[in-house]
Amino acid sequence: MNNEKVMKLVEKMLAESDKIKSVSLSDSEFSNVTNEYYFTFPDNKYKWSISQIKDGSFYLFYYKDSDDDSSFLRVGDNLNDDFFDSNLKNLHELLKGKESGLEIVLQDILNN
Amino acid sequence: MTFLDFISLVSDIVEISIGVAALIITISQRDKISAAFSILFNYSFQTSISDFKSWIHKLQDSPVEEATNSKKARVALATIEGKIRGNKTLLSHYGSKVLKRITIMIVRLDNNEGVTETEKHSLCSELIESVSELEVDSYKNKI
Repeated sequence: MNNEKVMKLVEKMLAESDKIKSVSLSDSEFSNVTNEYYFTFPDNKYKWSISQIKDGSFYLFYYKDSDDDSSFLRVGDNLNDDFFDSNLKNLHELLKGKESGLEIVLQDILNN
Repeated sequence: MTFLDFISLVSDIVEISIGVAALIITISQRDKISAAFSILFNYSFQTSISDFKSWIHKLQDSPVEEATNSKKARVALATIEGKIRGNKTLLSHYGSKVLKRITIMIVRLDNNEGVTETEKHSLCSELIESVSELEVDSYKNKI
């Protein structure tokens, strides 16, 4: 997988966050993952998820079949880049805001 | 009617008779045939589960904290992941969350990001306990 494209993909997700749809928080049962957000991008075309594990690192997954959660593929193998990690963290924060509804509240306040 | 036609007729009659006999046996002995298939499927399932459990035990016995010694653990994790993905019963039983947990563990071993023995034992215990549940369910279904 082309890591440069993966980095651009995450940048695009952040830049075009209005195209992030169907955000949901997983009922994560297993010990080393704290929050996992599922979402689609762009719009409802492709399914993704981002997981944060207890040591603070983030993992991005793509789903070949949007109806099958086990069809995941990890995106960004061996990408030990601080900028990428920071973007994943920002994306996770963004999804947190979207899922909780805080993003809409902030947008509403800032637009008025 | 030629001799060949006669032979052909006899052959057809014998063939139909065998077919009818097989059908009668299948219908009258369907419980026994079904039980035989059930035993066969169950044996196959138990063999898969035993193999799966043996890989969990291999993982349990493989150190993960020292990068140079973690190769065995990586192989065991990858095998367990493959076995879950390749077996519909295991896949629906464990689901994507356990698979993702294994994937993340493999990535962290590959990147020397420090998987602890505690994390590994926690995963092994979950896998073993969960597969035992599956075995109990399988026996219940048999009864």
